[in-house]
Amino acid sequence: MAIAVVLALLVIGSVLFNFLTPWTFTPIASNWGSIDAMIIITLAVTGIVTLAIAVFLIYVLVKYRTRPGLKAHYQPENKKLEWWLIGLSSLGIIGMLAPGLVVYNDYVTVPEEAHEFEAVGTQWRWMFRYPGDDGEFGTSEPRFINGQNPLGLNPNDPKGQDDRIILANELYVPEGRPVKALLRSVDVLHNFFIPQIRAKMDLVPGIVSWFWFTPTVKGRYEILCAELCGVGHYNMRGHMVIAEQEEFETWLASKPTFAESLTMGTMGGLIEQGKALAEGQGCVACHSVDGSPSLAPTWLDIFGRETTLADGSEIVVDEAYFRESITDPRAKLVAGFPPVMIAYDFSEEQLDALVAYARSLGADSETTEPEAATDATEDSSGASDGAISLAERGEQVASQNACSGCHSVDGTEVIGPTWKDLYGSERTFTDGTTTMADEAYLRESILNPAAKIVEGFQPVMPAVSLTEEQVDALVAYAKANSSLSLEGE
Amino acid sequence: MAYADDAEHEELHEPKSFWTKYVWSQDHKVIAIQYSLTAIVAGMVALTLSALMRMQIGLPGVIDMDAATYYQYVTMHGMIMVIYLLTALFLGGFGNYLIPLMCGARDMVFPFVNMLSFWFYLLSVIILFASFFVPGGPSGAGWTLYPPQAITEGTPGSGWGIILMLISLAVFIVAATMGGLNYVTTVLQARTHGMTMMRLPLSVWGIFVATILALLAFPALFVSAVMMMLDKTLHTSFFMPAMVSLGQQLDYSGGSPILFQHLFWFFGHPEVYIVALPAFGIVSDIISVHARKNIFGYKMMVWAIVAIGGLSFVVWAHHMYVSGMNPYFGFFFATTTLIIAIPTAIKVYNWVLTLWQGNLHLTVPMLFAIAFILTFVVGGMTGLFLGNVIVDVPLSDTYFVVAHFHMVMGVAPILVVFGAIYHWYPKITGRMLNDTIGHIHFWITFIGTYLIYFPMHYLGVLGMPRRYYAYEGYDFLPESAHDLNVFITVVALILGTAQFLFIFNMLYSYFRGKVASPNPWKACSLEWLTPDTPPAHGNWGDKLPVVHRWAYDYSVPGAPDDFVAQTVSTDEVASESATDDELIELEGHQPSET
Amino acid sequence: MNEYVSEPSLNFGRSYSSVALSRSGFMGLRTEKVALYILLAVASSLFMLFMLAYLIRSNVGDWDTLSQPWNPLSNRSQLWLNTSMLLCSSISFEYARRMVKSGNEAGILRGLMLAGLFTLTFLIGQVTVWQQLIDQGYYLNTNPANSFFYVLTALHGAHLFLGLIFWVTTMGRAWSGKSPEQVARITDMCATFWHFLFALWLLLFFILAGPPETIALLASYCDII
Repeated sequence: MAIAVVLALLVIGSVLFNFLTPWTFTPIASNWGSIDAMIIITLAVTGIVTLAIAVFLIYVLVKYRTRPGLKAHYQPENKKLEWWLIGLSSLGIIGMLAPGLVVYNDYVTVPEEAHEFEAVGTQWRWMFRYPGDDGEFGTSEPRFINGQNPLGLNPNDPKGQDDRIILANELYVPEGRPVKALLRSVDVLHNFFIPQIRAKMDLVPGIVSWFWFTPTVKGRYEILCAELCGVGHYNMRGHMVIAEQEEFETWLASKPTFAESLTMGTMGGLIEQGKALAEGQGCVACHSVDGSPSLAPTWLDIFGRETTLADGSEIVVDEAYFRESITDPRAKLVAGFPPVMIAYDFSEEQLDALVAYARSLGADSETTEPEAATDATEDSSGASDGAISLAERGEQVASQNACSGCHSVDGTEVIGPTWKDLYGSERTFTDGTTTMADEAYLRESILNPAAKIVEGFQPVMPAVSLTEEQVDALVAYAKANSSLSLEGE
Repeated sequence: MAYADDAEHEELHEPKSFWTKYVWSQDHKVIAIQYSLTAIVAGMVALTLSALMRMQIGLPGVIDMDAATYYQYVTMHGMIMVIYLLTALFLGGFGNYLIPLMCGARDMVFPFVNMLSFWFYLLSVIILFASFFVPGGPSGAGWTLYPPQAITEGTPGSGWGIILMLISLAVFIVAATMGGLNYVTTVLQARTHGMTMMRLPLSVWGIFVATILALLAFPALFVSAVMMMLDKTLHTSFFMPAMVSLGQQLDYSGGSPILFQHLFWFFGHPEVYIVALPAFGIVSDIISVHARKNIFGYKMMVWAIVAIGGLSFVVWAHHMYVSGMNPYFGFFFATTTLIIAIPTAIKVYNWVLTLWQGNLHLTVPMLFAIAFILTFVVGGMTGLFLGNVIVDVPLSDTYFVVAHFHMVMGVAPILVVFGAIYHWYPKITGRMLNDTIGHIHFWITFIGTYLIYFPMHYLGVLGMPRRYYAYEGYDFLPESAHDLNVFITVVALILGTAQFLFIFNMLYSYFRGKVASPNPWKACSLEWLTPDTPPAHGNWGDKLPVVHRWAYDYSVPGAPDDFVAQTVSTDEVASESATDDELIELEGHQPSET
Repeated sequence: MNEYVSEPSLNFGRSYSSVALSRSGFMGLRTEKVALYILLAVASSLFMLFMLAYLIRSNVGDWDTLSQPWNPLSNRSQLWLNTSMLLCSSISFEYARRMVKSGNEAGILRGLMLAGLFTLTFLIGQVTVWQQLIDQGYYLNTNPANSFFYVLTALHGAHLFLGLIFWVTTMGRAWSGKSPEQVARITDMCATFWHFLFALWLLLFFILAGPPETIALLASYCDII
């Protein structure tokens, strides 16, 4: 009777598993609890029917197993029983379909008060857009896409000029307000999925698809791509932060408008953002930027400065300390200044911007304008402050342009070669040639990736449009991540 | 029937040489075995690919596999299993073998075209496997081959890989049409004396309706393949919108990726029923033989097969609920999809009701049939989750879908394949498959597949997406989810290895198996009543069988034995003391004809 | 009876099934007729799906129907000429089929020859249309409307071409005077096949080069993308 026993064990095991499993719904963070309810209803109906069939099957196997003298019944059909079964099954089906369609009707009916954001997918990262003060999105087309305008917005559409552009992989939405996500792809099919929200929808090049939800629980959630979109599909992750309305507005205000982004270039944009933030949030009320005495330590030449703290210890100001001082000012107070600074709950991006701005104030580091001098190369060897700041700038450029989606710095091979120990190494290419990875090679790889493909890698790196300054920064960053050096250094 | 009269008068031209007997054979039995062996070899390759895929998911780093290779394996595994294994095996393998025999015919009506069908199929397999060796390797776009990604940079195999894939599919479709023509026409035209449609075994009905589906649905795949090929090679814009690809502007515009999806799934959904319906038919026969009981509700079973076949053409967009298509289509397709559950449910009830009050012999084929019932119910139920549009929204593109379709296409029909081979092997080869190995193979396969795919559904509920090369660094996934992946991988490797037991059994028993009697299971249907075992060329000798009853007269009251074969007339079987009621039953149940 | 037994079958190999081909079965039809109808169902499915794809795609803004006044197929004279050639070939096959019934061998031959001639003229005429389009710069990938035109006419032409292969066989047999039974059966099948392809051509002609407003109206019912 092994089969009956095994079936019974499997069935009991399955039921127990269902109730004891750790793998169940993620904590819901949206209004779509009704979807969870539908899943439970469906589980209940299908579960009960499955159990009934399974139990009957087990019973039948035990009771009617062959033994001497047993003869099977001869009954070709039983119309009455069949029609009863059809009727009951139909009831079960209706019982699942009807509420399901009611909830689905909610899903396709966007509330009038919903505001909107746009999520744009590209291989293999996320970009976002909010309408500006006019409340309307400008039009977009793939033919407008270039390095300055990765979302392909129509520069001639006045409605688009004030749209807020978000290029980092992180989106904020305000808690409690229904929002319609407009989805657009510039290349292939993608899918915007956040398990805690429950909703998802494909991004289809050529159309704008959508879904809506109301974020209900504050937090930071992972955005997953849920439609196979090439080799980087599994790594196309982003984040959505559900925040208080105020925090959301602060975040949004720190984002450049489309018009600004066109004129500034990414790097300049960051410094500009930092400046705007510093002025708008009142930092400059206490921290001077020109070295003159003020209520708080001046930001001119702040990085690398030896400083005595209130508790008597000595530190050298680095980026980590700078950031900490913004978010938790009382942690390490500088001696000689009153402890009156409040904490600022800025996002990582805002902190990046402030750091960039502060650095730009340094006398021997790069200028604030996009057309930077290229004396950066002189700084790139040796351990002076200028080199570290350029390299750290490169880190920012890398993160802004999603280089880290494909290139790691810790040695793991992702989609592209790791930048760890890249500079100064010997590279072998798919055509069999080799070269030493010097600066010229690094620059070429960034600006013309198809020229030389490293052996063992796919030729999938997109062309990126960067300023000289940004490229310098990336080169410096790569060098900083390499323990190798070339002859003559 | 007129066919039968003529078939008896005609000379049989028997093939004489080794080549015409075993290679360029027009005999349906040989073609069936050619199809089956090719399909099984292709399947073993795909099984190996899945083992490698599972190594990457469960035990990343143990094998050196990059993301591109992973996606290529995912694609080839899927395409081979669905088309080149399951479809080819059920239609070209079982269809070819069983239809003429169960109909009482000498062979298919167009044997030459039938032979061509196999060689085209083999050609399509060769072309597909050739894509492993071209620059760029095979396509890595997923078996669904969605544009634009299938033909743009950034997806592996978007050069020669996808081109060979599309050519292979087109060749396969030609093969399937040639075969399909034979199967349908033979069932309609070549039944023997007394064999009405409603006396045919359900195996024939299942394969017959599945073939009609294939003939009407494969053109949709052909149409998509032609248009995608033109988009790729000649830069038309059927499916390709204006887009950039890895930073470069492409010169397409206006095409619709969703158009491809509509066409693909218009084929793709009937395709799964092309796999399922033969399995349904075959399992009905296995259950009834080994339960010594007629299939419960034969007429309803036939209607259910026909209804499922017809409805399968109006449910396709349940694969597209989150595709960006018009959202209002969701209402329609959710409704039709849930309706199709009803005839399917009828079949499940009838299988279980056949066992009820039966005389159950728990042979290896029967064990596989019972395992089919459980796994098909579980897999089918999860289909109800996915069919109900709003429930599909969070579950689509997660492991819930992967678990569902493996259960309902990869486990349940494969269990039927195994059961069917154990059941018909004695007729095909004249020997029994080894029973002990059969039992071991059964237990490992049944329990293994259940342990793999049942828990997998819950990973989908958690939100774990499908088609991911790696899951590191996702905060929402608990550590235990990765542990489950390891567990699934280990079970899968054991399961995959265990299949060699089956291969071994088939080979070993061919030479050393116990010699079988012509009708070891004491079944009623015609294929067991051939004068020779294995059946000779022409199947029946001089005279074609004459059919007096349906294929399910098991345990008929008043009959001397617990089965009355289809060719037995009432006079032969009624004893002198038979009561009137018994005589009525012995006359052979005649479900009213269509 | 013997004449059936000794005939080589439609399939060039030797098999018993030649007999099956001559007898009635499903709905009183000969087996080969049943098979032909099944093939026609498959072909119908193929072309219907292509035409649906055409109508669906035509709803997108970049579409430029070839029969628009500024496009070449606003002048359909060559297409009408081709259509009349195909009609004549259908008529010729029907004539040949009637001649089979009355056993008039000369008539059969005449009908077959004319049918083949007209079909070839049709195919040449279709290629002429292609040439005209190419000369005016309307290539396969210039516009989706063009793409569909080339693909659908090519597919239709390919089906005709395959039919011509059977025509060659029939002609060969009719000419040599051997196997009249085969001639009869294949002529009958070809006639049906040709009528189908003619009806299909009318539909394609209308969809591809009919009045743009009517096509747009039809397309609006298929505006599912």
